[in-house]
Amino acid sequence: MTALGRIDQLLDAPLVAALDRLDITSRRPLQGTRKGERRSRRRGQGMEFADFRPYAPGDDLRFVDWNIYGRIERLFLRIFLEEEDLSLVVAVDESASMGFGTPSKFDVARRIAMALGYVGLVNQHRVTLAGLRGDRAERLEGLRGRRKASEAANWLLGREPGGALDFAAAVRDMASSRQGRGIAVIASDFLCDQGLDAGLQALRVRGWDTFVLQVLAPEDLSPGAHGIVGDLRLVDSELSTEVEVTVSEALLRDHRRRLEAHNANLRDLCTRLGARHLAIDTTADLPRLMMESLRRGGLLR
Amino acid sequence: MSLLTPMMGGILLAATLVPLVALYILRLRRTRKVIGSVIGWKRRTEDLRANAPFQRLRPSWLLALQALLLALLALAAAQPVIRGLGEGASRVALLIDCSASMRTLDCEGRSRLEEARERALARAEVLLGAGLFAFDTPEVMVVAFAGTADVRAPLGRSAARIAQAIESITQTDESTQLGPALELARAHQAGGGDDSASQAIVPIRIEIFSDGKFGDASEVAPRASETVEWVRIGSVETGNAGFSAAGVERSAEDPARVEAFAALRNFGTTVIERAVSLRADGKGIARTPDSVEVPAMVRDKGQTQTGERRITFAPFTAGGQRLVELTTDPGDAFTTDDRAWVALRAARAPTVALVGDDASLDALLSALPLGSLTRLDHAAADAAIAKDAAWTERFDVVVSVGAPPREMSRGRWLHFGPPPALPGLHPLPDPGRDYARTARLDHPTLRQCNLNELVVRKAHALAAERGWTPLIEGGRAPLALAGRTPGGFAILVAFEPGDSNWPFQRSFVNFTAQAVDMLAGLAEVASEESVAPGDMIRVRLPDGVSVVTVTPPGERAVPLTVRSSEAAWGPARRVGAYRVEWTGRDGVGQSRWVTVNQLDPLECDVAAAEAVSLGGAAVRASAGGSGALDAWPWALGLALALLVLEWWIYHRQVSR
Repeated sequence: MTALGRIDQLLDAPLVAALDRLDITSRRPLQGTRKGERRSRRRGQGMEFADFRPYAPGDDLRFVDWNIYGRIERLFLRIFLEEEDLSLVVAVDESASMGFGTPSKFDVARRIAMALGYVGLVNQHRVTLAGLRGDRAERLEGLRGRRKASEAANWLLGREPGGALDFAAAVRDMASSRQGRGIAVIASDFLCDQGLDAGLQALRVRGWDTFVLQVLAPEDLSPGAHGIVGDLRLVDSELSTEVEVTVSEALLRDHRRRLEAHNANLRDLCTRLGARHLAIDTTADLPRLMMESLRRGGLLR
Repeated sequence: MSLLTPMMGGILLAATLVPLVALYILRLRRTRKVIGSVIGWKRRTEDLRANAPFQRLRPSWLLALQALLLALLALAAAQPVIRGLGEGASRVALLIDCSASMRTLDCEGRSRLEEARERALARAEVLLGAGLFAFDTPEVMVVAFAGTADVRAPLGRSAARIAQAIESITQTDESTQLGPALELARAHQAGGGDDSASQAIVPIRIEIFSDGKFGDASEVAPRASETVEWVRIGSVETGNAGFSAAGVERSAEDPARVEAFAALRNFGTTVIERAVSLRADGKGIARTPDSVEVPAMVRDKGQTQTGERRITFAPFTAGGQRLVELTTDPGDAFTTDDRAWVALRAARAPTVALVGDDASLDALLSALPLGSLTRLDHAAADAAIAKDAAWTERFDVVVSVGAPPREMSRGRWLHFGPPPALPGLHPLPDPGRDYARTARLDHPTLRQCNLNELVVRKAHALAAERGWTPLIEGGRAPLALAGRTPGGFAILVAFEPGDSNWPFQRSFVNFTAQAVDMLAGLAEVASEESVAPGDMIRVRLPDGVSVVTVTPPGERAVPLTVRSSEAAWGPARRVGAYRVEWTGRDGVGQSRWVTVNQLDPLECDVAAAEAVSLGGAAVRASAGGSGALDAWPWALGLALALLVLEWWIYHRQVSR
């Protein structure tokens, strides 16, 4: 089912070279638990100037702007944004449906997760990898620095898709496990009817800057061209739900229409909850995805 | 509405509805295919085949429509018909008129008989066309009728046999008599079994395919167990003009000189013009110089009077026998009376015997151009007849007066006085005074006779049965009759000339001369000169004749059997000239013509009847021949519409 067995299959050298130039970006200032390379609304000892304010007794004289005092003879204090570390959680849907496709959606999701994690590690962010399985989120936490890349890769290579996913419960589990806020990237096919709203809502409530990567395979988008023909009893890989169909052009058109409606609902939901959405075809070129699509989508810079 | 083949419909419905439902119950064994998610997939099955039982029968518009479609097809197969009144009889008699008027070509270029046959076939198709699965199929019989009637197919349920019988009906030129046909139909009303129960009268529906001109309409009436329906054939607007009379006579002074005359009549409402041609033995003799106008028929106060025009041709010379043919030009839709044939006997002075003593008769006969006149008293005549029964055959005509001779059954007689004992004649007592009330002045014996002044002091009353034609009707009884005897022909006058003022009137001379002339003509041609269609051709032949044939017009000669010096053939159903040939004792072949003309005014008035009344009871008229409206095309059409609707719904579901 999965074809990835080595680290270089997850992240090859040319891609690593390209990723070294990228960094994770967030649409909002974040609050971490330790100093990092990310600015914070909490003004303090960071390097980036934020504002002036009149001096008050007890203030650190090191931040008095003496140039202003020289011009107007009043003491003003320079205020800097305190730099905090960025918490990046990359979650991969490990449900059975992710195992379908050539290449499988799960492999593509793992490669994306590895690439994003690598970008986070090399930029000294706090990276967490999560596998959404059942109603839980299995995590590899506390990764920081380039040297943790191999650990992250090995963890990802050890994952396998299977079973059904309770998206809301698993995402809630993932969202509640972290202190503070950060960026949450969820790579999934999102082919489930329930729990999407609740799961994404949980991320929003907890202040996560959420990025939804919907990974779909050509088998999902064009089933007629991938062996779904004739009189079939279609079995859902996760729920074992069966649907009897006689595949026809009209039925395929109907399926496409329904799938597009589902995806449109997901996009609308993301917009409503302040999440960003990006649909990814498993046949897409990963370097190009990272360098163009994700940068254009605002996740990388 | 009723079903002709409900069993067929039921079988079809059962045979198709069950498999249809089964198709919806049986499920298709589908290939199991695991996919990531079934989101986006909706259950859509279009099972045309099944290989695994069973699934739950789900409500489906398609199933409902298809079931309804099958029900409609089954209904169509059951052959529903919307019947009119009187339908449902278990026995139906189809009476098809094949009389002369049915020859009229006023049914879109076809004859009325062809139209009648077609409508009768359509009707038989409705009655019997249901075939093997028919339910409550009536028994149908076919009767063809004109002057007489014959059963072409007895009661039965074989559509092929009925159709064959209808097709076999051929045209005749006879007049129309409905009575014999009704009697034949009624004869089949009784059941066929031997017990009394099966002999019970079964109601029968009689359907008459005719133009409605029945000569005996007032004499027949439907019975309670009968339903009579008339299908009008032909148009009520069709007019006709043709011969109402035709004749040729030899001049009394010069027998080689022949005078011919004809009468045309017009049944139409407009004046018509006709030219008349006269041919003798196929050779043109005369033709009217220009077309002559025949007045239109006049209707006045419910009475109709046909337009008449008499034509007399210039005399021509013909010594031997001739077949004279008259034709009108142009013809019309009814051709039967557009031609007339008259047999002209060879010129020969008749031989006459006068039995009895009457000065006026003796003087009159002496003045006629006779071949010979033999005078005898009654005793001598009785003795001669007693000695040789064929003695009277030696004379062309025997004229008797006073007491009737002992035997008048052979020969051609003109008798004045008490009626003889002949079959069909019943003398009545108490002779008395009488006068001529009416007379058939168109009879050959009464032409140019005015009987208004005739007064009879002592007339012998007698009643005559059918077969005797009253020539002069008196106030109490016929004063003169003509009819066939067992071995000849007789004209009887019920009084002696001396008991009336007739010898002093010209009509006496005319009557006697014309009677002798007519009787002598009968002797000459050895038969009646002309008969009506449907009559028998009877030929009196000389002794020793053995081989006789008759050749109908356009047909081969038919041999006849001679019995008692008479041969008979018939009935002669078509107009035309029939040639009778025989070889005499001397081996010399001889021939005579017998002509058959349709001059019946009722038959020649070919306008179809507007209404028919039998015995005073109106007969229900039917416009169509089937009497029932086939409903299966509507069921089939509705089924097709449902098929379209089902197809539309199917595609709407498939393409949705």
